[in-house]
Amino acid sequence: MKRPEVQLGRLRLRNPVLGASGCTGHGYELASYTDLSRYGAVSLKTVTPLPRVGNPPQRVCEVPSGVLNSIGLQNPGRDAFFAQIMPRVLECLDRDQIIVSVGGDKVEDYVELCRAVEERFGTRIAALELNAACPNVSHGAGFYSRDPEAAAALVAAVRNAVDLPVLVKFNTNFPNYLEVAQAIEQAGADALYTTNTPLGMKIDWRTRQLVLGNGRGPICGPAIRPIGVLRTWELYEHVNLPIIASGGICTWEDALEYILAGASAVGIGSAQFVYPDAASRLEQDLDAYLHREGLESIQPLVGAAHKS
Amino acid sequence: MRATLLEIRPITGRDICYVFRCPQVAAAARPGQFVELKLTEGYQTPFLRRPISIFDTDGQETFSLLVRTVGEGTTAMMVWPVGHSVDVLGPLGNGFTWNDHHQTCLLVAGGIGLAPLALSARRLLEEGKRVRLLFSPRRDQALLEALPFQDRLEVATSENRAALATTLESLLEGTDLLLACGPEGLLETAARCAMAHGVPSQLSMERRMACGIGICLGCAITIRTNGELTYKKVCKDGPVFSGEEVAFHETP
Repeated sequence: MKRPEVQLGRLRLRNPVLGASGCTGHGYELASYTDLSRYGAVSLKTVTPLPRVGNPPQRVCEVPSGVLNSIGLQNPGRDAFFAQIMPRVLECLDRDQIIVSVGGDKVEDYVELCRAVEERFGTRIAALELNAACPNVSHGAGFYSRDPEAAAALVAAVRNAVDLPVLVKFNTNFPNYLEVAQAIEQAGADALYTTNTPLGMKIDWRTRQLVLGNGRGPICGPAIRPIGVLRTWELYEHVNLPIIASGGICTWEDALEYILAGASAVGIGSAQFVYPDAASRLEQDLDAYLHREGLESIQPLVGAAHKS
Repeated sequence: MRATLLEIRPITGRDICYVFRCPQVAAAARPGQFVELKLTEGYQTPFLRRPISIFDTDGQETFSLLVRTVGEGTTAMMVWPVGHSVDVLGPLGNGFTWNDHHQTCLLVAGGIGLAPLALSARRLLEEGKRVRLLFSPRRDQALLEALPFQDRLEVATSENRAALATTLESLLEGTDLLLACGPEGLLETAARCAMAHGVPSQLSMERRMACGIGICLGCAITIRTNGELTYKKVCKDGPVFSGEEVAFHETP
């Protein structure tokens, strides 16, 4: 059967189903549970220049149809990421499947780290993803999703510094997110990665205390899917960049809904917490659907709901 | 992977032993490991799996879980009929370990913390070791009825957690290894007393989990390694940690 390839700016993927950053580990953790070759790509857990211990427990909590989480970009920092994590990643995923997600505070943090990743692994990975979205850190990340000028400056600086395709994961929970998306497009990003994780809170009525150690955290899972579909729809109408959409996608029908709203690819997140093979299953099911419909790729379906 | 519910054994008013048929889990399970059960079909509520300690296994066909009905997930399990099929991941985690030098072992269980210690007791007895069990609190001791080999254990009980340290004092004499599971206050006391007696201890820790396989980093616990505090994953690095390395009440 022909595999539905997908083009995202300068990035070509074997299929449109991605493992979302922060919900897929580094790929190798899932090797014994799933067929990793079925991933269009895996966005690795975000790496920052220096180690980050992450947020205090409790870090996860079940909410209706989803999960509240507050991890806080825990990662071992650049040096350990290069020395210990990347060799294992390169063993279990192909070049075209590896997306390195980069986080930082200042623009220079992102630029230096992207440059270092490209120098060291440029010929062995597919793309860089700028994490301009994480709401779980006090300064930095979320900042670039609020301010069009800051977002544009970040993207332009990274584009000037590296040759690899650049995906920008941003947060659509600010009122001016369409303006920010347009700024990201003008600054030369290859694709927009929408993360649709509104913040939430849980209070234990028995102890009268906040459940998460950090108090608040993003909601992921099916609970937020309708919000994500709307954000994707709006982005499709306002930017020409390819959109990678995520937010509560569990099944091929969910993925299709996002595609019809305008997504060229989809990111699978918390569904993998429930079924470690969720992404590969979804990819096979989507492929089977395309086959039934007599389609060679999802391209004719991207944004198709807008025409009616 | 699917497991089929074979038998439901009520132990107390709120504790139930569920026996499942699932050769992959039964054959591979080691003492102190756990499974992640999906309590509903597909992505229905509850959304996340529930991590539950393996209570016992026949090593071939069946394994069992000793479950205290405390929340939404465990309440949902109560209505399962025999023959019910459930999606299971596991066995997961590292489990308890011992060697030939550990001839006399003390198991310290706090309430439903008894669950992951039962298979340890079974295996230790099979290896001909002396096994003592200290159970707390005494009002909860009806739970001990769940143990199939209760008569082969030397069982002591503690009135409550406050009395635990005193009871431990006498039992630690001549103990080569302490294994414990229960509320953190009990575990902290057990670890402290063991250390004071120069007895190595292993504690089965608990945190809220999402994935159970090391991809979400949700189940962070503070661990002291070479004098430094770091977060480790209860699901993958644990759930069993040495009493010396668990840094209670501390964050990195």
